[in-house]
Amino acid sequence: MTDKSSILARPETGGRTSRRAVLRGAGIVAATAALQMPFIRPARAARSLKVSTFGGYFEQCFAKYVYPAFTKASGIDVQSIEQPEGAQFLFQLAEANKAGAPPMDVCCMAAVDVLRGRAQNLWRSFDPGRIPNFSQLSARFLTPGPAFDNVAAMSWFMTFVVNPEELKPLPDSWTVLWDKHPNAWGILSGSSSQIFEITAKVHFGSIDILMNPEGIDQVIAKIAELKGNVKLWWQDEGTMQTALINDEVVGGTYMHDTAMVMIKNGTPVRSIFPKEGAVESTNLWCQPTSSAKIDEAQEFINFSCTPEAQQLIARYVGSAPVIDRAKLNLTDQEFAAVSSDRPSIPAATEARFKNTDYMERQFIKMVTS
Amino acid sequence: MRLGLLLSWPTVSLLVLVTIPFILLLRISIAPHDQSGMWSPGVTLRAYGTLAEPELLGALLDSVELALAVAALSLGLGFPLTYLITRMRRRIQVVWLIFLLTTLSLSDVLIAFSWQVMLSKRIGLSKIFVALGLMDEAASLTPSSGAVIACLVYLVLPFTVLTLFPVLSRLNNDLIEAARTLGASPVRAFVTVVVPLTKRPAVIAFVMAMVLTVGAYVPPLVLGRPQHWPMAVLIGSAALAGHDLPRASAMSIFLLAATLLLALLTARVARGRVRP
Repeated sequence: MTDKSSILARPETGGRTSRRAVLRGAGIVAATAALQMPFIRPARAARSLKVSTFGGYFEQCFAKYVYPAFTKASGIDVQSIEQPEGAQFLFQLAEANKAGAPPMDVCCMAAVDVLRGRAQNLWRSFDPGRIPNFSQLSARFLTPGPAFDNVAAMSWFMTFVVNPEELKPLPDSWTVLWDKHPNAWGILSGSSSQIFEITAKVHFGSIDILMNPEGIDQVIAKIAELKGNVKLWWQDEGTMQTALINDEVVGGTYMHDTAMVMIKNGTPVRSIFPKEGAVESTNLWCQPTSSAKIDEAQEFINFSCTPEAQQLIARYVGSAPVIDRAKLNLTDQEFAAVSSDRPSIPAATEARFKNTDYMERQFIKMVTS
Repeated sequence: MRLGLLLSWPTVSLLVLVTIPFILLLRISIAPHDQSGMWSPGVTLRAYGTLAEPELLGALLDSVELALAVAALSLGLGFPLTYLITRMRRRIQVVWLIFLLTTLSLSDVLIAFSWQVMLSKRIGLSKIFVALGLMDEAASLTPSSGAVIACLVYLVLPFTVLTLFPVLSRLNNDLIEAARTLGASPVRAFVTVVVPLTKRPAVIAFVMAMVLTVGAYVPPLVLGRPQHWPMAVLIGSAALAGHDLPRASAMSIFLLAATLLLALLTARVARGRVRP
């Protein structure tokens, strides 16, 4: 997934404690501990957990709204860690895990990185009995694999975002991308682009075609038909946002939650869930094997599977809940800001894990020729 | 003893900052690809085998063309600009230099985004062009090679000026005045006296602009057409999106070799001309 921090980062400092306050707090804790030492029982010592999410906006909102609710419910303090994205992060995490010093106890991973980490034995398996709320998740998140090393945290959608003044009538299908609209669209470029899922679903019936190189070639040939219509093959969401704000593109593929923030800030765009479905990507909680906080991690993940936590995530983090709407008390407006009742196209995680390098090379070959 | 220490310091920094990273790059370029961990132990030449592809050679040519165009333009603009600055009063010179230095503190990401906005249809330069009668109607000026070149010249120009400034400011004014008293026009004096005296730093500025541009990543990505994406963009794609670090490393070494060759060639051509 792309970096949200650059665009959505809000200048919020409320969630952060100043260094001086920490030092003062530490002094008090040390003094109390020294006084009460003989009477303290190990099991009642302060419990804590380090949780990492994608940096910037995500991390700030989790620290401000979600973790405090968990601490209140469990008594476990959460230290919020900013987690970078991309290939190098997983690489560094694997090295730190081998050295026995992971920077966090629980991290929030993109689905394909869960598979990459699993291939390196990076994740600890959870005990299903310790995460009873797991069954509260929507049906499509109930298959974490035999290892049970990941639990859905939140989702986000790639939708058809358009400028309603430039495109009438508003599209209800992804097929409109292939109609005659020269230089109209901005579409995410590269192997991580959801245009793979969209093309596979719309033209080949399902994302299964992406499981082998021949299928990928067929899908890319169909994406190539879009070249005359695409003005901007974007890689950074800021580029697409600037293009939308300045009428440089009529529309294209874009993140629903970011589009909703843009609308709130006065940009006249619409985020449409087409009838074939928007592409849903899910982030998952995982625990590096060398983290020792096994109980705390499972308690946290169990909390994340409650309607209470999912409501906080939807309202304040701006991500789609992974629990059915019927179990949540979100208003229509709150729900529409992050999700939709229409069925979604699942992200082609397996295919991307197997074929990322091939998808990337063939895509670049197509787009640069 | 002290001399030895002083001499060894540059050697050590060269070793730590250049040689070791380069050896690592070489090492990874001959490692097998691993889907989950970016690269794995072992030795193979697979990554180099993937280099002989038309889109990579095309991208290399695009990189070279872009570098030559940007270097030529920034020297063409930077030389007269530096010359003008050195002829100004001391205090104004300082203001100019501070201004140019300040632009170096801006990130190239920010600068590329600013150009994207500046060249857009809605609030961009094209509105000014329409008002001046240079264009019929407002239009978007990106993506285009012109946009990429303009942005890169903006990024490289301060380096060009700062390279030329010491030499041009120490230029002996008497020589120019002598040419002027003998009847040369200011332009003629500039071309026949100033330019030959400053050929060496000019070549250095040209090569430096070229080397800086060869690695350009963000401006071509944001402002350029995919058909003209240079090598750096494709290296980023292979490493970050394709998770194929060996291939990205092999591509980097390929680009490094090409850049070195280009710089040597430029220096040689320039030297050939300087000789009587």
